[in-house]
Amino acid sequence: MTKLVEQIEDNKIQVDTLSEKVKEANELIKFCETKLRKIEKEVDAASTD
Amino acid sequence: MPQITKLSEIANEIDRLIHDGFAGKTFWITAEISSVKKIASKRWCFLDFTQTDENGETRINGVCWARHYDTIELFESATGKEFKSDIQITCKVSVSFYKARTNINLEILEIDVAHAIGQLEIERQKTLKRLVDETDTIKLRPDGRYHTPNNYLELPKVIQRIALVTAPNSDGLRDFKNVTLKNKYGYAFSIHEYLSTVQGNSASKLILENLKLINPKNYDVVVIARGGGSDTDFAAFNDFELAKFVASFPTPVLTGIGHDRNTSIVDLMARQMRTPTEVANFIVDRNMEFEAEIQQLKDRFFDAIEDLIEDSRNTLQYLKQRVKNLSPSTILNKGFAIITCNNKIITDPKKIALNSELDIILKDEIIQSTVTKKIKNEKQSYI
Repeated sequence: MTKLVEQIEDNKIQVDTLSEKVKEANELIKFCETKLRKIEKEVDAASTD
Repeated sequence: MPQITKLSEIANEIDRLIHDGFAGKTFWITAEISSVKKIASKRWCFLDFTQTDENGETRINGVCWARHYDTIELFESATGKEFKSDIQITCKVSVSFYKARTNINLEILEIDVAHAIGQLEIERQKTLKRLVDETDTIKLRPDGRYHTPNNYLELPKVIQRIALVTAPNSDGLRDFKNVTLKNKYGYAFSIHEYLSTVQGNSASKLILENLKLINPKNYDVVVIARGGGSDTDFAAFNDFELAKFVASFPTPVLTGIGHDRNTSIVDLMARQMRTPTEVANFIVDRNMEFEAEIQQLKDRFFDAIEDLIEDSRNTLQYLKQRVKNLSPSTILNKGFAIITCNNKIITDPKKIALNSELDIILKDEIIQSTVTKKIKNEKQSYI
């Protein structure tokens, strides 16, 4: 996410790839939010070793 | 028939002699204590004083009655050490005789707490020095704290998988789980408990055994908690082997051992917080900081996107204007002409021969002409 923001702030992104980047950013944010509130089942299982 | 003396008469005589010899006298002694038996309900404590010197071992019964019992409590709270067998104390005593059991007692009047703290500190410093000397990785920093492989491990930005080492049914366990599992942000945690007693003689060994059961790869942090109960007896956390293991444990260890006055050696080897609740709050806050960081990045991202679109729009507008300024119609409007020969725009006059037919294109008309003469425009004159 930091890398994405820096790429855009440093004008390293073409306008025609913007929608792709927005999609990527939204997916990252959603992933973080979900991970914070839900522990993956497999992670939980692994840690009971 | 010999003269019979009653036991009570002998006891009375001993009592009188002891009273005559020791009344009003007090002594400061330094001795090991053993067979310590506390009767908390009455605030009594029975014990043995032992001292060994070149004459062999001397053992005298000891007692502390309710009127001086607070000196034991002070000793425990100031040293963080339980008043129990196999420790050495310096204390002021008087000599008394307990007639019913013909027992000579040294009654504890006052314990030298400063001496006890000093002794404890000497032991602590010895252990710390040993940790530095016997490992290549534990180092004393100039600020008096310790650099260990464990307390220099980077903490994960998000802490969710926690190994909790604490006593079963303890306040520390409850407090830690309450704060983490009921956090107001709804963050999820996976807490696995590694339970054993954390006080008493065998505590350090049991805690160490528990730590060895933990697979470090499965956790973001290990929390060692000790909360509630008395503020005494955290001697387990000054144990050399336990401290050494914590110092090199490959997953960050957070301690909430729950004492105000002293920092244990295990605390120094890990990351110290005061109580289990404080550790739990630290973890929840750390996750919250991460979420806030994501939110900030999100805002920055969409601001940057807007700026980028705005910049592109401005660039496009500028280019449109430039194209318009350079278009032939704009040029003709300004009074310039375009000259063509055989439908090709002439940019190089050398290519025009005499008698060529040219079209001079103006804004509203085209003038057809024939070249009759060519003169060099040496003065670069345009009018």
